[in-house]
Amino acid sequence: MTAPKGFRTSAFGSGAYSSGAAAAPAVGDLLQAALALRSQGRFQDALDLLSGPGEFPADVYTLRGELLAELGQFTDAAGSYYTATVSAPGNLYARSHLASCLRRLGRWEEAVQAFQAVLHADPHRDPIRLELGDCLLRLNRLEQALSCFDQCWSDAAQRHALFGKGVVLQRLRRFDEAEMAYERVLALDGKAEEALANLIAMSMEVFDLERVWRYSRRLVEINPRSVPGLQGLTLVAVERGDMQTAARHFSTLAEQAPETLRPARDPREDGAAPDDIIEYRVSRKAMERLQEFMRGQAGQPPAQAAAQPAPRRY
Amino acid sequence: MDNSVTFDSSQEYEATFRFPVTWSYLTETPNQTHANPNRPNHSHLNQNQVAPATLPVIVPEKLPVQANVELSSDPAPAGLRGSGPEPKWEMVIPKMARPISSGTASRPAARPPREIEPAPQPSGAPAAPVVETPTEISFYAGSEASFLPRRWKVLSLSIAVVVVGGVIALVRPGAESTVTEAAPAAAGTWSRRTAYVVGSKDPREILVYSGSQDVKNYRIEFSWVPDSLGVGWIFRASDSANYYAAKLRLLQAGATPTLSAEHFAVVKGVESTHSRKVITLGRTDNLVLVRMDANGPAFTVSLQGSPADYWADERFEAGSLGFYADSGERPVLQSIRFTLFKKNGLQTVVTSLQ
Repeated sequence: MTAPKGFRTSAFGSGAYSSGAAAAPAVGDLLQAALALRSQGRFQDALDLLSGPGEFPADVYTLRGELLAELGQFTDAAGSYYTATVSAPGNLYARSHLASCLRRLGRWEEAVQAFQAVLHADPHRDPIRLELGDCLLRLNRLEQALSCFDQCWSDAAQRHALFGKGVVLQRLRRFDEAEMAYERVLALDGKAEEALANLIAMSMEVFDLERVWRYSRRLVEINPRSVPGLQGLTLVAVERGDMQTAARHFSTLAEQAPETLRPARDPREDGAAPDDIIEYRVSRKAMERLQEFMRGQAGQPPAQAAAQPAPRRY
Repeated sequence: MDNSVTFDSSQEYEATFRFPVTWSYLTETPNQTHANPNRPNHSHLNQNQVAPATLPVIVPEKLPVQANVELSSDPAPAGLRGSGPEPKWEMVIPKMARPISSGTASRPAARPPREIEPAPQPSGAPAAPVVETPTEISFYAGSEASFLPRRWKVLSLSIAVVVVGGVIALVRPGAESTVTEAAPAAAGTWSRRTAYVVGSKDPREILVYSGSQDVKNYRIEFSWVPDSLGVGWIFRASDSANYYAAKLRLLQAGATPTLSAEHFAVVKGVESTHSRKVITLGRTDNLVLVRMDANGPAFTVSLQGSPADYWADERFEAGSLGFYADSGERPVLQSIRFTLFKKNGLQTVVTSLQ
């Protein structure tokens, strides 16, 4: 049987383990026991088993990295994978997981280097390419990210790569192309809420209320509690002066995202680049009218509210 | 109506809606990175590993992540073309309109197609820019005498071919050791053949480049103005009943058009099912650069310089190349170029279908 990439054929059990013939069975037993514990979901116990002093082969560090990652300890997991890659530079499995850990830790530049190294050795890994694209987006290296997504070729990665392209094109302000990319994502995955949310953001950037309404409507149909969808419907109604409809959507929105009623926070809290955030502030006057409608709808409707025409379809 | 939102009448409220651009969708698929079959287990343990004496290890502040990555010699995971459902075409049985005597005798025995496996990246032979006016494929069937003006054209083209071939042979990486000089370009001609398809009113027109018989490996390049009717080409054709074929069609127009790429084989007059995939291109300016490399059993189609489809098929080892068209198809092509890897050297042919 051929060993998978990055791993050489096991010598355990054959006495060929060069760290010491006596140590080999012990390490083999250790790994067997750890794997058994992991298969039972006992990650911490398996980790404890592999945490003792001694000399270990790279696979122990790789397994340890997996266990640490399962436990959410990505810094330690990265360290363990790193040790595995030092002792076995050709171990693409450990290297790709090291890169993933670095990405999760927000060490974008190092993650990019690690992903590129993996792709250099195995250029057919689209999942790796998608993670690399994510890092490049974080680093605002948009042209590189676009090229990265363009190189995705597999069917399995198609919708994710298209989505990535949409994000890059949106950030490059190539809105027409971005819209097409997102629409293709939606054709492949009709429940891609994030594509619709980004389309709403893009439509807000050019303040195209018709598009904002259309995409918000689609988003709320998929997820009636979607914050961007409710925001879009609310603001379109406010802009069109239909305060009754606005109040209806805003009521749901305020329940889902109470922070919308607070003063704007620092947008960097969410980890996105400030340039990417479009803000829309509801004026105090409009807010007063919204409150009136919401109070009226909660209790006795005010006379003027009752006299409102039938709500428009938002 | 939800009544849970209450307002303090003594306080003024502001509402701020924020619309960040996010991309968590990119990496949300569970374990997609971890789908690597190289999961460590007791049967995959390395030998000769030297590890630190104690655990845990601390990840350094700066990781030399680019150090010495070596590609294992093990085969890449299977399923390179993805596992998504692919539409299958109904089988059609084309009949030969007339027997082709030259190729039938040497028809290779049909062998079962091989499982798809990663094809090697095509060697990056630089493509010298050639400016041509768009030409429409014409399957006009005339006698050789009527090709007299074309011969003049071919003669002038062949001079250009010798120059371009020489440049490519000099510039191509590794060419020094394998190709001593560019083979003289033969003045190949186009010959039209017709194949009838059962159930179809119109026959399939096949246009074969006569200078490509018995060539095993070659590169076909052309620029195509995408349209819904598509462009089809054949390769490794021994006659009009035995060949491989591929086709591109425009599914959705736009700045980033969506194409379908399909390939199939016709063996002893029986057409196989079509393997089809959908490809979305990057930004294009109404012209798609198409390249197909036939290298042994591996075939690679590249669009705009990027690999778009790979497959492997061992049924036909050598044969002519050309184009085909079903009824009504008249694709607009530019910069048609064939690079034939012959035993005595590299031959590049720049031609048109007029």
